[in-house]
Amino acid sequence: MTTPVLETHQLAKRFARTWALRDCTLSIPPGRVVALVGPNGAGKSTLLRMAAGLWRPTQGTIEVLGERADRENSALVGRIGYLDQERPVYQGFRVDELFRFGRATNPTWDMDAARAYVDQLGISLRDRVNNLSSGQQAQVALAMSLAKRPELLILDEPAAALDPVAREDLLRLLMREVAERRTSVILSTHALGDVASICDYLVILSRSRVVLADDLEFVGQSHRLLSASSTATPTLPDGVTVIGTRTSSREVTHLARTTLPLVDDGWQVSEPTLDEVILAYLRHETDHGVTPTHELDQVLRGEAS
Amino acid sequence: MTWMSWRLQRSLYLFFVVATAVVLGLTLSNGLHTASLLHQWKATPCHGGNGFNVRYQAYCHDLFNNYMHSRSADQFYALMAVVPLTLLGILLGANLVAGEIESTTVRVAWTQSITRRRWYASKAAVALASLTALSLPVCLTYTWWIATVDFAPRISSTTFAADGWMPLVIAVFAFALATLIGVVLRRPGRAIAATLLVMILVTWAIQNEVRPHLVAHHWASGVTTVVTKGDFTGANVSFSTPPNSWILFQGYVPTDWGHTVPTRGQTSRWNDELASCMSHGSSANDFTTCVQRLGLRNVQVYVADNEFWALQMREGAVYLAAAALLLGAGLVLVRGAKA
Repeated sequence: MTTPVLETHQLAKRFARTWALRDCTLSIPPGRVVALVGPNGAGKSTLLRMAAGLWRPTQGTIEVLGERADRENSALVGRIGYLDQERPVYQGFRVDELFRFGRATNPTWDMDAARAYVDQLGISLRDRVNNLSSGQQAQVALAMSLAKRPELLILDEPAAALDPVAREDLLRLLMREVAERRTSVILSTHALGDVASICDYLVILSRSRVVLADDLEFVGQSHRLLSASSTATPTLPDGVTVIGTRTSSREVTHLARTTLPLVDDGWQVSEPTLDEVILAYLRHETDHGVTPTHELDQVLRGEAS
Repeated sequence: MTWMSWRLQRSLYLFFVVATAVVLGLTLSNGLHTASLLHQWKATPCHGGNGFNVRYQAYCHDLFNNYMHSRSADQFYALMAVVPLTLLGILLGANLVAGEIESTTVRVAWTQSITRRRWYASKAAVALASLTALSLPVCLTYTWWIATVDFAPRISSTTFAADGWMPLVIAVFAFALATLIGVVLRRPGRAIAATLLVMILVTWAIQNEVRPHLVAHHWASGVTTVVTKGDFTGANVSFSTPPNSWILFQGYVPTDWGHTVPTRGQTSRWNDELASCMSHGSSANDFTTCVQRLGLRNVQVYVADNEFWALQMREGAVYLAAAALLLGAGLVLVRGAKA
């Protein structure tokens, strides 16, 4: 049995009276590139910071690479590469000084790899970090995470606010690392295009709760668009949970999660795009403020077969 | 990690090295000049006897005035011994954790393969070593300056905090205090302001409330002699207190009073009784009679000058023990802090 890279049980984090994350139960298998998707304030950064050992949970448990996420467990922290949403770097430092810091604090540090990363991006080791563009700073920060040779990379919106070229460079660097070293990656993103192009596992967070967590392949297989005339809408088949509905004057279209093969009983069935699935979940949460159904909740928590 | 800790504080530290060098240069210059004036005044002809001091009276008077003028900036120099180092300690402490929390670089530091405990200990050790390295020339220079300029009594003078190793221990305490306040407030600017406020209160309390209790007190009873010169009769009181002692109290206390310094209320009551008794007569003999009738005696409570280094060690130990506690508390809080 393979050890999940991230496993949480009833994980919750509260700041004063506000829950940043609640009832988060997840198990992410190794070797995946996981997209963590959700609106602002959904709890993505909270989950990632707890996984990186920066924050302590208020309730529940969180295990990373089979070990309890603990800030004093330096061996575990050494196996994780973390890039924060704010991409903090020591502003007055030169790039080679940052790398010297990385080497001094990480036994697995690969200096040759670190130099190669920035060299490919045209960044000099003598450059001062505060003289670099925000895209270059993000790339240096990512290079520091990669040069640790981590088993798990946790990236909080790594490509946010980057121009298209910098974004492309950063994602290419990331994907090459994944391909060469088979590093597990969990990245939060608002760019739905990135999810389809580089990820193979999807976690959707909304209103501080996990509403979907599955292989992208299975997400595609388990969701369907059901369309019918708005004047003669047939009964929904068994085993279908409606996530979102679009209504026009002539047609009703449900995006639904299906647990059974659909038979043709008056509905026109088609395969939704990944963007449609993600947006349907996010809209559902915004409209209803709850997870779709108790049944879906059970499915997400692995309680239903 | 040692290199990293040094790199983070390097600019600030080097600025203070330059500033301290300027201050020490001024102090050395002032010390040499004042010592020269003192040497000239103490030598022949001003203290040579044989009437020289009368013949050169104007010269000696000017010399003495110049000497007093040269040492009149003692408060400034005493502050310069303590303030720059204390300020450096506060800035290093406030930035140690709070600076990195504010700039969010703790999220880089705390996700490397080192524990927070080691990170904190390394940074604190480098800051303390730097502070000590800069304090040593300051302590040596000011100890020399105070001895050369001939402040007396050293044990009670305002220069006590600038003497011996006090500049070092006060700076270390300020560093520890700023570190802990920084961990709590999470903003270096607020931590600096709060630490300055607390430092003023702490140094005042140590100087006025703690220092007198750190070494043994001695008592000396006054011997009153009635002196008559023509129509004038006066009382001359002398004490057997050693020279350069730190006088904690002088006044009238009951003859059976124990060896403790009386409160202001108590001395006020005894003085009122004495004044009431004296309302019947104002001569020296009346005064002596009143003192005897009320069962009072004139005493001095003092700390002898030879307790100077004992007081330095004990007051320094108080500061250092407090600093160790503050840094320990900082470590506990850092281990549980939100990045």
